[in-house]
Amino acid sequence: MTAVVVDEVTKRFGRTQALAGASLQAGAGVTGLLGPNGAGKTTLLRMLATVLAPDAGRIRLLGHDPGKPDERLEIRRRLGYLPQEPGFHRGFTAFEFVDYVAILKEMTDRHARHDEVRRVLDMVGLTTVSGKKIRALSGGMRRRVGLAQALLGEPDLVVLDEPTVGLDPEQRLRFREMISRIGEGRSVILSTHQTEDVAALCATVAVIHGGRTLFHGTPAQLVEQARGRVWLDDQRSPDARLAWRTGTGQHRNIGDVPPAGVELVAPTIEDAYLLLIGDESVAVAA
Amino acid sequence: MSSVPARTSDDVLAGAPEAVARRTTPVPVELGRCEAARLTRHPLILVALAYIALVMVLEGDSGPRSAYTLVTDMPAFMLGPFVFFAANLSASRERRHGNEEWLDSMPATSADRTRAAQLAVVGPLVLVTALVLVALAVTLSTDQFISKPPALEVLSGLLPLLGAGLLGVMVARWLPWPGMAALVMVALVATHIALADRLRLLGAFVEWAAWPASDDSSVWAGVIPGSRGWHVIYVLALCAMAAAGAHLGHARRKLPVLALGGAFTAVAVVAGWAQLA
Repeated sequence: MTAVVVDEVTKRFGRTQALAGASLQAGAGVTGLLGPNGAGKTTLLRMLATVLAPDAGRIRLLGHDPGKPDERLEIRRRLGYLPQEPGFHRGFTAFEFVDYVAILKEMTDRHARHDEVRRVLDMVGLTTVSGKKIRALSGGMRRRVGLAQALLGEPDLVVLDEPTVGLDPEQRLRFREMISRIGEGRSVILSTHQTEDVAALCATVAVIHGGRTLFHGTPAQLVEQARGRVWLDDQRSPDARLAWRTGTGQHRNIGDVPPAGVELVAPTIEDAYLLLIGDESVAVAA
Repeated sequence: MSSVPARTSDDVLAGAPEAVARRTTPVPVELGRCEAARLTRHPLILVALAYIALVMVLEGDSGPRSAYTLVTDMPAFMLGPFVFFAANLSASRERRHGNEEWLDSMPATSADRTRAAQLAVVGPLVLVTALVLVALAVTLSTDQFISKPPALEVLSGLLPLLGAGLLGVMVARWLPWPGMAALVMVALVATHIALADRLRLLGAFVEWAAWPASDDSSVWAGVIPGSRGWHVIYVLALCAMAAAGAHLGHARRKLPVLALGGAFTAVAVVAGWAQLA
């Protein structure tokens, strides 16, 4: 049995089809949702966070049905969620804010709760600034406050919507390390449109585009899809689906059939992702 | 940064042992306690308390009429609007910061948060009560009263603060848009002024929160007849109406809340009539 089962889920907002039959399965470890802006990642994560119901399809979280109030409560007791834009109470200190969320997570024993708040703030490296107002913290520190609240009570399912967005390279590195550790023995689902995050963090990856799941597997399997389909050339190849000029002046081409005599190179996860999304774009256009 | 404790993959589905003790106290009570502390420290409340303390010092020895008013109707008139706005801002915090959906992903419900916001109003009430009791003790010790205010009358001056806070929470739940609390306050004052004149002509209006009989604040002319006990019940019923009104918005089953609100309204009408002389 897997912690997250999403089966052929659809969701429409007015005229916009946000999800059009997305599917996903995730067990312990970090699973990345990769896709361009507007792909439906956030809509899917909101469903995993039990705050949005699908129009059709089936979702099971931690063995429960989020559509049933009693089971939804059970899920929420074992869930940590960091939305894309958390909307912090900026007049609160970091400690006060995490403490506030801890109460909403039913931790009403004051001493035990305060110990737990200190523990999660320590986990994200915010102990020294826990007394500072959130408005005085940097963007990276605020993201860490958000992550801290998501870790309260050692949740079995952690849902993170673009947790590394807006972070500088060093902060992103620290964040990846934290998330990687959190994923040991629990299910972490994170969305991102940065392929480096997936390559560095995720045991499994799902590529979502146009509200559908285009790929579901390991990052290595995703990369394998592009093997033999990436080549360097002095110019943009007419056979390429996508091509861009690199820093060396050569063009990196990705496409179905490389021309004879070109230099094939090892694909990256970004190549594979772009190839997949490009394929889909062509399919949609056709 | 410390490392995350190791867990087995079976924990994910089985549910790991609870990291912290949960639910030793109901969520609204614990959250209400924290919110009460925050509301008591709210800048609006602090300004209002400083203002009322200053007035007590300056007006405390201005005669029996003034001394009587200070410990009865003044808390409601001077602090009520401040408590209303502070409670409203506190209760609308989640909506103003755009994190309602996020908080909805947690086990505590929006109804729990509303109950907590309502309980929080007790914080400023306790503080003002303490201030009034100090003023009462000082006034009694300096023998300034011609007629000592009964306990129910002191209570009827404090309870509107509870009502103001509960109304602030209700407005936050029903009219969450910017400026609506100010609009409600203006509408309340305007309605009061309009109705006061009409009802006075009918002989039905009495300054219920201001029992001393004279319009001249410097002269003691006895107290207005009426039932202070019914007046307290009347104010409490209004408070309960505001509390029920706040819950009506997100109650799963609206009928019981509506029935309760209707019952409180009936009590308010009966007590409002019975308080008349």
